[in-house]
Parts: sequence; C-alpha cells; structure tokens
Amino acid sequence: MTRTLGVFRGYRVHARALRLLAGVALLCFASRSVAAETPRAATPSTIAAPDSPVATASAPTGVVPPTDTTPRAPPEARTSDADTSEPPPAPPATPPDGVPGTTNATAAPSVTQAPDNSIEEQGTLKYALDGIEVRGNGKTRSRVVLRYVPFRPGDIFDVDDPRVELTRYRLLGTGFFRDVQLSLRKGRLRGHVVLIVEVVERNTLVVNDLWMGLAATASTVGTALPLTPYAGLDAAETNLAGTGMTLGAAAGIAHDQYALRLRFFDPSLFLGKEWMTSGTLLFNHANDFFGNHDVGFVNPLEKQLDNSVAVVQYERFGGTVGVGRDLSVTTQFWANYRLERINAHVPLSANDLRGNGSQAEREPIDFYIQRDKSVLSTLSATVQHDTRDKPILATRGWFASVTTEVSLSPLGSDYAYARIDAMASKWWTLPWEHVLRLRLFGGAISGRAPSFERYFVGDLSDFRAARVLGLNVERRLAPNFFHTDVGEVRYGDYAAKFDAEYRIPLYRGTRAVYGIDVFARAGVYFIAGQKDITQPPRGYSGAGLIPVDFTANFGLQMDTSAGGFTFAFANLLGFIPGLGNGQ
Amino acid sequence: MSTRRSPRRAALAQRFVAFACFFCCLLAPHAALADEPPTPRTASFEWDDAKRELYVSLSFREVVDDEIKRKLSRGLPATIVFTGTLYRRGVKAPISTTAQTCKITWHVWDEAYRLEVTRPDGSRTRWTTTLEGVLRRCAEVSRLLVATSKEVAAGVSVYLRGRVDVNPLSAEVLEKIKLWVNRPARTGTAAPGDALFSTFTGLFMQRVGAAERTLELLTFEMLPIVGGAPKNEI
Repeated sequence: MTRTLGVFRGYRVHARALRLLAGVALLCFASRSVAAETPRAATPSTIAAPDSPVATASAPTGVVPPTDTTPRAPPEARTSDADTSEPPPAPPATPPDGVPGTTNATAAPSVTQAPDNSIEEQGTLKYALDGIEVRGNGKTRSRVVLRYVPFRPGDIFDVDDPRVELTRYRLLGTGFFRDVQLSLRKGRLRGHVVLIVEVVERNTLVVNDLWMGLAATASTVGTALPLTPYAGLDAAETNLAGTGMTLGAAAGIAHDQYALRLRFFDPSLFLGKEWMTSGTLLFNHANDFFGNHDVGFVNPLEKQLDNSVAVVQYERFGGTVGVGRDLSVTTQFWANYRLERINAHVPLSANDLRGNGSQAEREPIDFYIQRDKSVLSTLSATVQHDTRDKPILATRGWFASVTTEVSLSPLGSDYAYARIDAMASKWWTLPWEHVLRLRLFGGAISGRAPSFERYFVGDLSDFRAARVLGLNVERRLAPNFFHTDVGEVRYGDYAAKFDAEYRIPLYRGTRAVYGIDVFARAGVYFIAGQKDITQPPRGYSGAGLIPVDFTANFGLQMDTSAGGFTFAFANLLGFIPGLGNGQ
Repeated sequence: MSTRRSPRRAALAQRFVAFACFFCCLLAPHAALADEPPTPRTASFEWDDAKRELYVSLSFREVVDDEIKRKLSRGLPATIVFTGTLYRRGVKAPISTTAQTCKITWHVWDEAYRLEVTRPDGSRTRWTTTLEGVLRRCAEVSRLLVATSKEVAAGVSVYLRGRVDVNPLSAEVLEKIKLWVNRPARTGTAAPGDALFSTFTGLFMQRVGAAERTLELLTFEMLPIVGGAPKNEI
C-alpha cells in the first residue's frame, strides 16, 4: 500500500514517487560520475584504414603524422599572387604505389592526373582516405560522431561528394554541436588524406514541452472547483555523458494530481545501427471524473455522498520499452511493450441521470477501471510518415501515423481491448503565402480499455483542457453547440475529428524569433462509447443522436530559438457562461 | 464599495504587462533588421568600343570573412556565386541579368587553390597559391557582361542589384538536408507522436538557409563609360 509521507503545497507526496525521483537523480549522478572518471583523450581521435601502417605506427593518440617534407607558409600568409592556368609544381612525391586511384587514372583516358597523385576526373578531385579524425569533442564520444559520417578509411574520397555537406548538416542536426566543420589534411602518402571532423559542443539539456492552463476540475470528494491551474514541464539531456543517448524527465501537476515520467532513448546502442531503442517509466497519481448530471456516489475515502461528479482516484506505475527503425528518410516504425500496475480507489456505488429532460433515467456509472490493484499489459506498433518541411510552422508536406495497440490476458493484462488510431495532416502554401492545413483523426477501441486509455472529450474539443501526461484536469462535458447527445459523453470508444487551420504569417526572422503566425482553426469531432451507440440516451432524436460537436481555436503560433509556442484562446472562451454548456 | 483592485489581480496585471514588454523587446530589433536595404556601392559600368556590350566591375570582398577564409583552405570545395540584375533609372522592370560562379578547391598536397570561374562568356580554370588571388578572382567581378545594346541603349544611366551567395545549397540538397535532419536515421524522437521531438533538430532546421553567407548588393546609378579594355578578364 502506498504511504503518504507528507503534503507539499497541497499535493500528497508518496513514497513510490520519491523513490522514482531518487532513482532518476542517482542515475544522472552515476552517468556524470562515469563520464568524469572515464579518461577522455584531449587529443583528437582517429580511425585509420585497416591496412594502413598508420594504425600501428602512429603516435599513441592515433593522430596521423603528415609526411609532407616540404613545409610551406599557410595560404593566408602568402603575398605573391601568382595566378596561373597550370597547377603549381608538385612537391617531392612519395612513390604512388598502392594509391587506390592511380590505376584508374592511367587506365581511363578521360581521367587526368592531378599535380599530386590524387585523381581528377572532369574537374572532380578524389583522394584515398587514410583515416577520420574527430576533434573538439570533449564530452561526445568519437564513435557517436563517426556514426553520422558515411565514409570509412580506405574509401576513395570525392571532395565533391554531396554526402560531405550532408554529413555536416546531419551532425549539426543532432543538436549536440554548435558548429561542425569538415576538412582534409595530408595523409601518409601523396594522394592520401585524412578527413578531419571538427566539432564545437553545446549544451544539450533541452526543454521539450511546457504546459500551462486553466481548467474546471473537482476535488477528490467530488466537490466542483470553478477554476484551477495546471502545469507541466518536459526536459531532456539529449547527449547523456556524450553517448548520444537521451535521458528525459517530465512532470505534470494539477489540483491533487501529479505525473512523473522518465524516458530513455538510444539511437543504436543495444541493437546495432539499424535499430533504435526507447524506454519510459511513469508514475501517475491521478483523478478521473465521471457522471453527467445529478451524480450520486459514495466516496471510498470520505464515506460521504456527493452530487457533483464521481471521482476515481488511481495510481499508475510502470513503463514501456520499444524498438524502432527507419523504413526510409520519411518513414519510421516503432514497436512497444507496456506494463503498468494500477491501483484504483473506485467509488463503492455511483449513478447519474442519463438522457434529456424528463426522459432522463438514473443509471449506474461504469468507471472502466478495476477496483484496487490491476495490471495493464499491451503491445503496440506505430508507423509514422513525415514529409513536413519543418516541425513548427510547417508550410507543406504530410504528417501521418497509424498506431495499433493490443492488450490481452495472455500478456498478463487485466484489461482486454484492442485500439487503432490513425491521423493524417496535410499542409499547403497558398499562392498568397498563407498556409492551409487539413487534419483528419479517427480511432476505435474494441473491448474494455481503462478510462485513461479511452478517448476523452477534452482531448478533442479546444474549449476544454486536454490531458497532460495522462492527468485529466477537466471535469466539464463537451460544450455541445449542436445540442446533440455529445453532452452525455465524457469518455468514448470511438472518436473522429476533422479540422482545418488557416495561418497568416506575421513575421519571419533569422535570430531569436524565426516566425510568428496568427492562426484560426475550426472543425467538428465525434465521440461515443459503445453504450451511446447500442443504447443511446433518451430524449434525443434524429440528428441529435449523433454525438458530434463543434470546436475552434485562434491565437498565435511562434517559432523561436527557445522552441515553438502557441498562445491560444479557445480554452479561455470555454469558461464563458452560455457558450455551449460551459460553466 | 471599494474600487481598489485586489493585490492578486494587480500582480497578475503586472506580470501580463511585463510579459508584453518582453515580447515587444524581443521582436522590435529583429523586425527592424528584417528588410534593411543594402547600402549603395561603387561599380564601374563600361561599354565596349562598338557600344554593343555593357560590362560591370565591382567588388564584394567583405562576403569572404575570416571564417570563410579559413574554410577555403580546408581541402573541400567552396563556391561563391554572384547574380546581378540590371535596372534603368526610373524603371522598375529589370533590363537584364548576369552571373558569375567561382568554385574554389584547395589542393591539400599541392597547397594551391584551384579556381573554376564560370561567366556568360565561358569557363576557365586557374590556379593560385594565395588568398589574394582567390579574392581577386572570386570576390570581385571584372568586366562581367551584363547587357547588350539590344537591351539598353548607350547613354542611359543604369544601376545593378546583386546578390552574393557563399556555398549556396541547391534546392534538391536543401530539401534532402531538411528531410534528413527532420527525421534523421538513428536519431531523433523517443517515440512517434511523442513530445520528445528534438528541440535542437527543429530549431536547427530554421537556420538552414540557402547559403552559408549571403550579401545583397546595390550599386549607385551611373552613366556607363565607353572603354576599350580586353573583354575576357576571367
């Protein structure tokens, strides 16, 4: 049983949560200690061609000594501007025996011998690559840098190969480095070179997400609270101890609820270069709200009857492990296994009025979660296709994903269900530079998924607060603009949403703020439980039996050096009395 | 009834004002920098003796800063591309366009720069051992054909708008970089649909421009002289 150690600003702190946090701190400390104790060469590290004498004859640091015996002044220091249409005379050369390109140079008539023993073919210069040297990586391990370099010692290195420039951008794109420069220096023989990858490292502790908002929630005994704030933060170290691995943590807090996450991602450590691995640990101390109208329930904690909403208080502890791989540059596949232990305090009995007006009937509430301890065990697979030109303020391209999840008793699960979600978004830039996006989402659950896995009206309506790290902070029902039976639905087994977003660029910059757009979004969504379809609530007829509602939002979207921000106002509009059934 | 605001509301209002001021300060300098017109510079416009071809000469050496200078001797090719558009006084429509590209490759073993210069009148390959030679060939245009008598009459004042790109990326390469960086193999997200999209990756993509350095040029308006220098100055 979970012990309550104390109360901090009204939030109960549990022993398990403290243990989890202590574990995170210990892991971080350990990784830093390992990094600090591991002797790291201050000198550059090199990989060399296997058949090259460099590997054995070079200095202990592995640096290849240049063999040019004719030192010259650096080009910046030279004053004589001796332009010529012919190359300058070559310095004394080592015999070119064994230079991979030399044979080709003499065999092909279209190939000309460059002044050194490198190969020059139709203006393209090629060398034999003796090794790759990584410089400037005080923290990041050389193997992490070399993972992104598509060249290997022994290759013929074409200076015009587009992969050279792409390698630079790809290293920059990891976020580990502030600057990356590639250069060549002389190798062991004439016509041989060493590729130097010089990096300047940067801080890799990043904030991935930040949530702040207002919601109408309820206390654990079901007393309605008119306005409560919630917040969350997701941060990560993306280059843990220089290994290229990501360790992230996230926390969310709301009234009498909190959530903790610890995540791990490794691009290729365990399963080789082709596979990625990830893991997540989670702990949620959360509430879910049930009941639509005139709710009555007996709270197991307070042993009293209330009539606002029925509250289920529960804890989730567990995690996921996953493997993924890139199917192409734009398509990625992931498979995950999840195991969670759930401990729920379910009301002893609860009921509410279901239906419209005088035809409403009092029915028991189904909480979709097992009382006391239960286990959730699932397998899921996701395929994601992303051709957006940029993740924030995208102007064209597709983003689509399909996820399937199965929870079965043979996997040790107390919940038997299957779920499939599909989502597709498409962006267009209009001739007048405005941006249009259409988005379609659809999902279905078969079986009895726990309440926190079911579709939630707050996740679909912009006028209600969405769940944050699995915390439900919203007790209100849908605004119900169309006066349908969506006003009877809080959680559903089927959901769909279609919306269109129109963006007008206000500002484009290159420094701290990259772009600001004003946006307006509108759409419709559908949410229904199995019971809403098989036994629809009474008092509705015709189109009123289709649980659909309108959603809209407007505000500003910003792309900045600190990340993407959205300032939207629909959540506030949701508190205006008379807007739907907003309270 | 008291009209004084509660301390809590006052504090909220103060925070809102502070945030608004911070936001404006963040935007103001960048908004000012957004569309700054280039300062006009001196150029030389010259007709050939027969007044059939108009040439322009100008320098843009400042585009090769210290970092680019260092980069020129790293053994990998660098490209400086100049594109110009000629205008007549008082007419917004351009008369003609011109361009010069210069590919600079430092030969590691020969310790010399190989310059491949391409202009409207042809391509040439040159060698130079000094940086000054590179700048003279690639960070200047000398008697670059910009128009003919069919496009502009002699005796008409003209000016040129130009742009210099150092290491410009082709649209294809730029697209490939963006895709690659957006969803790099064996890097990136913790899980699809996860919030843990690499912030740096996203931010870096915003900085991937079309070139490493870009310089916008504008020349003073002037009446071309009639000269007699040799045409080919590559």
